[in-house]
Amino acid sequence: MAKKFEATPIVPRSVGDLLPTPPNDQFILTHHPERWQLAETADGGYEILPILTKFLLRPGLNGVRARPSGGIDYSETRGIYQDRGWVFLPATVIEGGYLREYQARGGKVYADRWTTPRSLGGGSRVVWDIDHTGYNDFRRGLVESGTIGKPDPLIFDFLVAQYSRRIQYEQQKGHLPHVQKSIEANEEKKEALIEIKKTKKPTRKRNKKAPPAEKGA
Amino acid sequence: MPILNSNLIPDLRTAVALEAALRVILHDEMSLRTTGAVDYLGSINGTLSDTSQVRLAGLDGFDPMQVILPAEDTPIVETALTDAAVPISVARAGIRRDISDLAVLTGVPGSQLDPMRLAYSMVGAYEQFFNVTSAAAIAGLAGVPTGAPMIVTDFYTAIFALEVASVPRDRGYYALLAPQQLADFQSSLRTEGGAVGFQYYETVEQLKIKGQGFVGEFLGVDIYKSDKITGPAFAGGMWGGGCLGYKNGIPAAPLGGVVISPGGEIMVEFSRNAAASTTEVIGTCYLGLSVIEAARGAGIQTS
Repeated sequence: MAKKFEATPIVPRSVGDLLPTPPNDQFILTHHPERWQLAETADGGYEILPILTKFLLRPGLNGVRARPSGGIDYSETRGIYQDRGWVFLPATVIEGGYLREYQARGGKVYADRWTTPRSLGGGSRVVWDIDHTGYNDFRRGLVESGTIGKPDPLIFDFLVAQYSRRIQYEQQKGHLPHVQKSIEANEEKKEALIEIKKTKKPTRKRNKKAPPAEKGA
Repeated sequence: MPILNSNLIPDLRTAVALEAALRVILHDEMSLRTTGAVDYLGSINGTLSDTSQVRLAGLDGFDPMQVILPAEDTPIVETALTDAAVPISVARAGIRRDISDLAVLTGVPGSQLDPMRLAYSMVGAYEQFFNVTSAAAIAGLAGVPTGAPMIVTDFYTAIFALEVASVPRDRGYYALLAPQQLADFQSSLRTEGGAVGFQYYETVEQLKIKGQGFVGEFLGVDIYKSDKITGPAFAGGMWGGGCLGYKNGIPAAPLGGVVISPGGEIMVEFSRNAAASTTEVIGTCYLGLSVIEAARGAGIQTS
């Protein structure tokens, strides 16, 4: 009986089609319960989202091994990390996966799906565009689905303290207009954290210095 | 008619002459490996495995003595030993350059593009590989991305994290920052008041002692910079001795044209392809690097 083989469609690539950046390693996104950050919402408010760290699948790093038969073995390291509280998010945690692979001149380049490369003028310089909205939607979804647990109340206190230190430092130069703006922005973030901790909901945009409503309006 | 240079081109003169000296293209040449900031934990040679477990035990006061409440003959309860282990797996890395005989023989003697020069160049390739691996490890240290350029407060925050965790200073505090982070940090430092200041090491002798990439010291922390910490969100870090460690594998010299670095870190082999009249210069190393104790480090994550 004849056996059929499947072909994969390919597009011939010239050097110009290859990403002019050094190759890097595949990764798995991870989260530790202590790592959270304040992020701006689409409507100008704030929410608290988990910080995701890339666990690089790089043989030789943090106990990751290259298998003699090919492939990568990180099972031992993953166990140790999980014992310390880290959550490993498989690439398929989101429909369509979060890992993307690009052909580069020296090998392959890996990035998450919300970070896309763009070459400036066809030259060797590459900029990476980040879809912050999509990335934040993903992170929010991880908490809403229960994949990542909600932040401990102490996390808010820690972040508030961090903003307080930043404000305290900036106040030394508060007479400078751009520093004053930064102080106000950090004050706003600090207040947002306190509010989110209290209400357990994202904050909404505040109309600071809004003009008084016209009579009869 | 006089003999003009322009008339002699191309038969007796060349329009453009190649300079004999070969200059190296600008790149970051710092070596974190030689600074002592990353512990060398030995080779895996003869250990029967490519992976070693670094053993950690809670001894020497990790658990203090406890008051035994009366009665005076109350038996002392046993305190369990706290232990941990961290794996370091050694992996192979390498780089290969091929050069033809014609490319070598047409060169000006001393033009430095020949197999030996390529072999020497692999030392730098190894050091940068070490830096890339270290930067990847440092990126995993605990820290909160500030979303803003680095300021002095971020530096203090990292020091506080280390001091709160009782990371001893006797083994040194080190910081590795991206060049952009360093520039932002120094810019912030310019407006800082008070008695503390950034100590620049400006003389060649001082820099030789500390090695390339060392930029100065602030509050007792040796600061290094490396472009292997890449943006747009820079994940630099600060750590105390014992936070990071590495192991290597030292190849037994095979027969043939081989050069092994003094420490056995890398091996460079020359492979002759007589049919193609080319020489392959292949450098290989076996390196494994791990975060041994994450509590001894803190991330400095800025934009």
